Amino acid sequence: MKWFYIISIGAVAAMALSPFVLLPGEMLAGLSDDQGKTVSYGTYAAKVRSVDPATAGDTMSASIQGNVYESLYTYHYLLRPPTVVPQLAQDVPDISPDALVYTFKIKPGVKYHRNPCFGVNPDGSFKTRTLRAEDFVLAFKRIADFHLPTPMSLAFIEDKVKGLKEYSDRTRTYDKGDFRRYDEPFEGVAAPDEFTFQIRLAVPFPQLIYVLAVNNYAPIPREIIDYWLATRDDGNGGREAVPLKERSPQISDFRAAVGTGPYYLSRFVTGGDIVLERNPDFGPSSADPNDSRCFYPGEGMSEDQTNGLLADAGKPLPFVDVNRLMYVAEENPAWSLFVGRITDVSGIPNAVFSQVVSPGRELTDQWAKMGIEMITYTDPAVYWYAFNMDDPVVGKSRSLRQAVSLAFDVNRYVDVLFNGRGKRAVNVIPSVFPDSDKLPASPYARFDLPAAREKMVQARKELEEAGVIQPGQALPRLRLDLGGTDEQERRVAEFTKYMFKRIGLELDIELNDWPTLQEKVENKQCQIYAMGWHADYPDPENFLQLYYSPNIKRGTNNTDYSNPAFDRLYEQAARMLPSPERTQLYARLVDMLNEDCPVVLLTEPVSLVLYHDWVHNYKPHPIGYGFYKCRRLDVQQRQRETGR
Amino acid sequence: MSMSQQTPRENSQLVAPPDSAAPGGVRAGQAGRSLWGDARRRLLRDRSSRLCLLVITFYALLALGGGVYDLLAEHDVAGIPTFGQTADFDQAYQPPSWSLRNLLGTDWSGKSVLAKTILGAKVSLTVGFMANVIAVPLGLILGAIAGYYGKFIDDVIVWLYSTLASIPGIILLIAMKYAFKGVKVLGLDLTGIHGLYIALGIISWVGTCRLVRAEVMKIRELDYVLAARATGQNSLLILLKHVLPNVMHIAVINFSLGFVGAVASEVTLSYLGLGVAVGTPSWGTMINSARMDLFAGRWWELTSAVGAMFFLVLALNIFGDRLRDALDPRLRTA
Repeated sequence: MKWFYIISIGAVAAMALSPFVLLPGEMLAGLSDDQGKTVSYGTYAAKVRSVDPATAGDTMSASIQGNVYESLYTYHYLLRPPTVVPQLAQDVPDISPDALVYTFKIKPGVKYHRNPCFGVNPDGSFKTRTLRAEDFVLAFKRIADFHLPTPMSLAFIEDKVKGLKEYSDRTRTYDKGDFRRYDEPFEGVAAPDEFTFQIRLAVPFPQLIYVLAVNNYAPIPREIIDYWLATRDDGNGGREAVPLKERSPQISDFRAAVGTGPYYLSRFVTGGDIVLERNPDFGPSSADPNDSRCFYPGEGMSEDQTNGLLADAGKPLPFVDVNRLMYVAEENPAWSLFVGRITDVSGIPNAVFSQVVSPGRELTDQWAKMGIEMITYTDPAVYWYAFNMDDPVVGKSRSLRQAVSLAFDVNRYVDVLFNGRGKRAVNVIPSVFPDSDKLPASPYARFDLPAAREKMVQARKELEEAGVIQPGQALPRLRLDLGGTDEQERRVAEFTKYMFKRIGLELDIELNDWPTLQEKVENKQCQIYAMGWHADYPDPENFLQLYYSPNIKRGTNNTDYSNPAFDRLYEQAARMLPSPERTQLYARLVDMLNEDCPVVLLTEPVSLVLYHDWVHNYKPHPIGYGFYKCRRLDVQQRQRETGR
Repeated sequence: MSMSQQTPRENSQLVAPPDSAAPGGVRAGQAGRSLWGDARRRLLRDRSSRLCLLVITFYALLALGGGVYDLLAEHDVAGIPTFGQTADFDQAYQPPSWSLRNLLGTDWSGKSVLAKTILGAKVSLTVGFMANVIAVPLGLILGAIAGYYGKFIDDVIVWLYSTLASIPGIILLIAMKYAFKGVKVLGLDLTGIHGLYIALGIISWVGTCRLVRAEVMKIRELDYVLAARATGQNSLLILLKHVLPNVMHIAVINFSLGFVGAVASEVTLSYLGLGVAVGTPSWGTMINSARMDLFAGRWWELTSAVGAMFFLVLALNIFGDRLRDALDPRLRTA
C-alpha cells in the first residue's frame, strides 16, 4: 500500500512537471547537431504559406524566403529611407533611351544551394551549379504561367512587360503538368548570354528596379522543375516520372526551395519548426572577390555609428550558422520564451506593454537591467477603414465619409488600443517615404467633432437627394467588417462603434477571420472594412495605384474608387522618373483622395522590438527581407547569462 | 413494461383518480393539499432554499433593470446614454475604489465594471431562460410522445436524442454557432444572441426528454390511465389531461437545473468569441478580456464576472436540488 501512495504521488508530480520538461526540450531539439555552431532561436506567429518565390504573397513567407532566395536587387541594410542596391546584378541596369529595354549584368560565380537536383558527387554529397541569366527568364515565365497562382508577383508586372499576356495565353493551352511550356518564348525576357539578362517593357515603368528587389523575382534553376516537380522518389532510392495529371507546377517541398541565399531550409514544417542553416557555398567567388552581398555594409546613418551597427563593417556574412524558428501563434507564450531567455528577439504583447515601456517610450529599468534592449521604428504602411464606393449609402455621400473621418479620434485610438504604437496617418502615403513632406495632409485627417456634425447635416441632404433616405427618416445603420476575432479586435470594434455613435451613426460590426474578410472584400460584400497597405517599394505610386480604376479588376483597388481625372493624372505620373514635377503630380493626386475620402485614415504602425544584449547588428528593415545574415550573436555572453 | 408492473401499489397514493386529475390537481400525501402547494410549503420552510430564491430574485431584478435601461437608452429616452456611450477613456483600468462608478473598477475603455456585471446578468439570465423555454417544452413533448405511443415513434425519438447526445455538447454548440453566422430567420439575426438561444435550446432538451419518456412509460400503465383508455378516451386527451400533469414536476426541475448549464455555456461561447454581439456586456466576454488584462495584473473585471456567476450558479443549483426534493414524489416519501 505504501508503494501505491509513493507511485501515485510520483505520477501526479511527473504529469504536473511534464510541460516544463518537454517544452524546452522541444525548443532545443537537435541541439546536439548544433555543437560548435552559432544558433539563433526565434518564434514566428503566422503560418508560412509558400516556399515558392513565384507564389509568395504574404509577409511571413517573404521573411523566410528572403534568406533563402536572392533577386537582382535588394535594399541596403542600414540606409534610410530605404535604398536599393545590387544583389545578384553587378550594377544598376543599362536603360535604353526610350526607357523600354533594361539590360542587367549578372554577378559571375554565384552558386546555388547544394541540392540533389544538380546531381550527386561520388562521395554522396550534392552538387551545385553557378547562376545563369536563363534562370531569371524561367522565373519570369513561371510568374506569367497560367497554371501557377501568382497574384502578387504578377500584379506588379502585368501590362508592363512585353508579351506577358501572349505567353500566359500560350501556357494555358498546355496541361497543368506539362512543363514544356517553359520552352515557349516570352518576348519580354531574354538571356543573350550567360551573364546578361534583358527585360523589354511595353510601357515605361520607372519602378521596375524596386520591383526587382522583391524576392518573387528570384532566379529558378530549370533543374528544380525537372527533378523535384517532374519526378519523385520511387521508393528504391531512385526517381520515377510523375504522371502528367498528378504534377503541380508549384514548389511545395522545402527541399526543392533552392536559391542562392545565405541560408537553406534544412527543416520546414507548416505551422511547426523552421530551421535555416548556413549555405556553405555562400561567399564571394574568385571572379568577384568583393561581392557586396557577402560582406557587412560599411556605411550607414549617423545613429548607426553610435549604436554600434557599423562595428562589423566589411566582415564576411553570415554570422549565425543556424536559425531555429518555432511556431507560436499566441503572443503571450512567445513573450514567455523571450523573458525566459530562450529566444533572442521579441515584440511586446499589449498586455504587458505598460510594464515594459515607460510613458516616455523608454524601456523600464527592470527590463533594461536584465540586459534587454529596445528599438523603435515606423513601418511604411498605412491602415484605414475603407469605404465600398459602390455602396448605395457610403459611396453616395462624400460628406458622410468626410464626417466619419473628422469624428474618428485617431490619437485616442492609438493610445487606448495600441499603447501609442502608431502614428496618425495624414494622407495615404507613409511618412517615411522620401519627399512625403511635400505631399498635402488631408483636411479631414483630424479630430473635430463640431465640424463632423456640420458635415453630417450636409450628408443627410446628399443622401436625401440621392433618394437613399426620405426627409425626416433616420439614417440607415452602417456595417463594419473587421479582419480578426480576438479580444483586441472586439475592443477595436467597440471603440469604433462609440466613435460613430457620437455623430449619430449606428454601426453593426462583424468580426471575421482574415481570409474571410479578404473574400468578402473581393466579392464586394462589405460596406466599411478594415484594411491597409504595406509598401512594396518606397515610391508613392505603390499607394496611389490602389485608387487607379483599372486596378479594380486586379483586386488592388478594392474600394472601387473611380475618378477619371485621377486616372489620367496617375497614368502620367506613373511613367515619370523621380523629379520635382513628378512629386507635384503626386501631390495633386493625394489632394484628390484627401477630398474624396475613399478611406478613413487611421495609423502608420510604430513597432517596438526588444532583443537581448547578446544580439548585435539588429535593425529592422521596413521593406526588405533577408537580413538574418547581418545579425551577430555573442554566444559566450549568452552562455554566461543563460547557462546554455 | 417491467417498470410499470411493479409500481402501481406503491405509488397508488401519489396518483389521483382520473376524475380529479386536472393540472395541478394531483393529490398529495396529506389530504386537502395539492402536490404543488405541498412543494411550495416544503420549499419555503427550508432556510437555504429561501435564501437561494432570494438570490435568484435579486439577479432577476438586476436583469430586469438592465433590460429596462437598455430599452430606454436605445430609444434615447431622457437622454440616457447606451452602455457603450458611457466609455471614458481617461478613466481606463481604474482599480476598485469607493465610488459607485468605480466600486468594482473600470475596464479598458473606462466603463464601470459594476454596470457591466449588472448588464451581464441580463444576458446570462435571458440566455438561461430562453434556452430552457426552447429545450424543456421540446424535451417534454418529445419525451411524452415517445413514452406514451412507443413503437416506431419511440424508436425515432430515441434514435434522435441518442445521436445528439453522442456528440460532445460544446463542439456541437460551436458548430451550430458557425452555421448560424449571417443566417436570418423571421427577421432575427442568428449570428448574435438569438442564435445562442436556439443553439443552446437544441442541445439541451435530451435530459428532460429521457426522464419524461421513462416516467410516461410508467404512468401509461397505471390504473387510472388504463381506465381512461377503457372508457374510449382519445389518446391525445389522455396524454394531455392525465399523463402530462403528472410529469410536470420533471419539467420544472429540469428548467431550474438546465438554467445553470445554459449560463455556463453562454460564458464559454462568449469566451471563445462565439457568443453575444460586439459591445454587449456579458460575463463571458468579461472573462475573455482577462486574457489581455490578467497578464498586467488587472484582476477586477475577471473577479467580478466570475463572482457574479458563482453566486448565481450556486443559488440555482441549490434551489434546483431543493425543488427536486420537494417535487419528486420518490425522494419525498423516502
